[in-house]
Amino acid sequence: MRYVISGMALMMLLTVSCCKKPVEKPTDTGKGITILFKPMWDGQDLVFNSKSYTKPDKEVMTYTNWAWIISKLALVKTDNSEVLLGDGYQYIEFKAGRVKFNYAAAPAGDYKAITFQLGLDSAINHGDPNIWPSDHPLNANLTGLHWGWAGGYIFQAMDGIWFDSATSSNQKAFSFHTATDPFKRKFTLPMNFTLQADGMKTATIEVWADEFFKTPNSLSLSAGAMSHTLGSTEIALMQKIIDNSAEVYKLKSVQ
Amino acid sequence: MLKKLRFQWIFAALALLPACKKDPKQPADATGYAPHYINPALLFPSIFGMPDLPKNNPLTEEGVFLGRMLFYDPVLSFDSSISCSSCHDQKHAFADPRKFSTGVFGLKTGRNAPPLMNMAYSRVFFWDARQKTLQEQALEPIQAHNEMAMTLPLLEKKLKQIARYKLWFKKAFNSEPDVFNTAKALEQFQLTMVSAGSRFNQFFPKNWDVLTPDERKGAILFNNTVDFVGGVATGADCFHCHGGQLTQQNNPNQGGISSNGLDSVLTDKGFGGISGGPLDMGTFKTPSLLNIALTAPYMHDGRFATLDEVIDHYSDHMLYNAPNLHPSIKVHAPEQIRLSPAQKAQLKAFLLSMTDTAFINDPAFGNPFR
Ligand code: HEC
Ligand code: HEC
Repeated sequence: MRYVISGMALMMLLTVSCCKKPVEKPTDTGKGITILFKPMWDGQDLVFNSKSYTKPDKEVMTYTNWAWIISKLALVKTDNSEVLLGDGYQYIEFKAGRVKFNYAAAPAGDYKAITFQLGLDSAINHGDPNIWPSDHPLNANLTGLHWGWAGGYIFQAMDGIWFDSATSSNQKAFSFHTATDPFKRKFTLPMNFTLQADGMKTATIEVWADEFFKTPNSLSLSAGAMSHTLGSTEIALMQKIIDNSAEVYKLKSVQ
Repeated sequence: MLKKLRFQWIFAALALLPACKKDPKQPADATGYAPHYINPALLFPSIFGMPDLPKNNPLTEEGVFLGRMLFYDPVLSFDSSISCSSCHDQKHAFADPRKFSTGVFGLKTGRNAPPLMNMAYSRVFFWDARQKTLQEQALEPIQAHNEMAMTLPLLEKKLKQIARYKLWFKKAFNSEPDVFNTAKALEQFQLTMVSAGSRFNQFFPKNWDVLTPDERKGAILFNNTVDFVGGVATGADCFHCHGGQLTQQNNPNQGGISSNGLDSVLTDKGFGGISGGPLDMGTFKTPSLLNIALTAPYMHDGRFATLDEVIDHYSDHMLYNAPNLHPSIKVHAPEQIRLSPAQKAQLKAFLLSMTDTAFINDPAFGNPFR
């Protein structure tokens, strides 16, 4: 009995505050702006597990996972100031359909772009992952993208299987993970739009998987299908993938 | 039983003390329904973070205690011979040391009974991930012909005849004994089964001193991706699927349901048998490794009797042609990791540091009828 009580006391000491601010729940409120992320492959919807996609070099890919963490998600006003959406963090898990986020509090006004950072600033990246409420985009149990005691988050994970060609039966795996401070990237997607005080608009951001392998670095999976941050070849590959990402995100419409 | 009960009230008092938000308190009505809400922030340790708790089943002292009685009560089975604890033994972190468990009439289960701990963090249940909540999960073993072989109407009838259940269903749920609240009470009890007391759990985030030099080397192998320097492995990559303080990936899409390359020809489809998806065939819920020293035999079918066999599998016998082997392993094909005997011993030593003896001796999870 004594043991149990001291155990409880210990737990109390270990426990973080239970008074964290609740996060804004991404539900459709009919107000503000909804951001919709759509996974694509060269203009078609990207379907997980059951569909395969052919690269220009004839390699055939099937995605089984694609998830990513962004920060500083914001609307850019015409005067270049930024209006943060919620606390700016979001976790997008395409396969699970976690793709649509409503920000009812987004103020009315004229905007010229939507911006976000793939990945996290260093302090947050290496901060305690357990301070976040269970439904927060940085909660490690929600995303499964925290590295545990090695510290830091995986900013993006894309996994699946591939074949050298449509006729090959030699199944291989790909696993592109990007992480660590140098690999965060900010993207700004221009488009002029106006939010009214009453009513909601939906911004559709297409995310084209095939672009990760295209320009400026044309990437063949046969030359490397894994980036997990350890080892110089893998880091070089991660660098190339990130350098290729300028064309990945396409803001299609705000309406 | 009285002694155990007293603990409940101390727990309740403690739980209510430093709550930031006032817990909803209900006035005691004439029937004695005045549940004591448990503050989750006090139950779940900060090293694990907050789990996503079921919204329809707030934890109360009374609900947890009722769940604990039900967990240990063979009355839940057809012939009153088998309780949950018959197959989920606290001494083994609530796993079954037998390869397959024995239910009523001596029938055997088709899979190994896994440990029950930190279930609040799990998003899928059973080896094949066929259930998404503990509430749904609880009614399965009760009705499974080779476990408790009960019908739900009969369960309700039996419980209603027992005075202590009439009393405690009232206290916990303001209801007569019924099936749904049986499931809720079992869920509540299992949600409180937190195991966070191993030495491994203390070494986070950088308290290396609690580990021996060998365990530390094992930790590095565990947490490094597979790579080789001069032909010698510098990492065995366990963390992708058994990462973090929970040693368990709980996001099904990030390795929480995966194949670790046990079979080239499947005898158990695992999650594929539930989803029907070709790319899910042979994938299973990725288990936690906490208390792993206590939970032998290993894997969904208990095929490995020892941790040495498990480590040999990952080190030397990975089946790269196993259907749907997880990408984080498959990318290394055809290379085996080939840990040296010394490295294997280090990895094993590290796994042995994950034992939480307080958890398996905690009277709060013990048999309340003893
Ligand atoms: C006859 C033995 C037996 C009995 C009795 C039994 N279980 Fe189990 N339990 C098992 C086996 C075997 C599995 C794994 C089955 C599978 O995955 O298909 C399991 C799995 C579970 C799981 C899933 C754990 C996880 O990590 O996904 C939970 C939770 C559980 N049991 C709780 C209970 C509860 C609560 C009871 C009593 C109502 C109970 N069990 C009764 C054998 C038993
Ligand atoms: C790709 C994900 C993945 C990786 C990487 C991985 N495991 Fe596993 N592990 C699993 C899965 C899935 C199971 C259950 C498989 C089954 O029963 O079919 C498992 C089971 C186990 C078990 C048995 C647990 C039990 O309760 O029966 C142990 C021990 C284990 N793994 C240790 C390790 C070690 C040590 C490493 C690193 C060398 C490792 N694992 C790497 C996914 C993984």
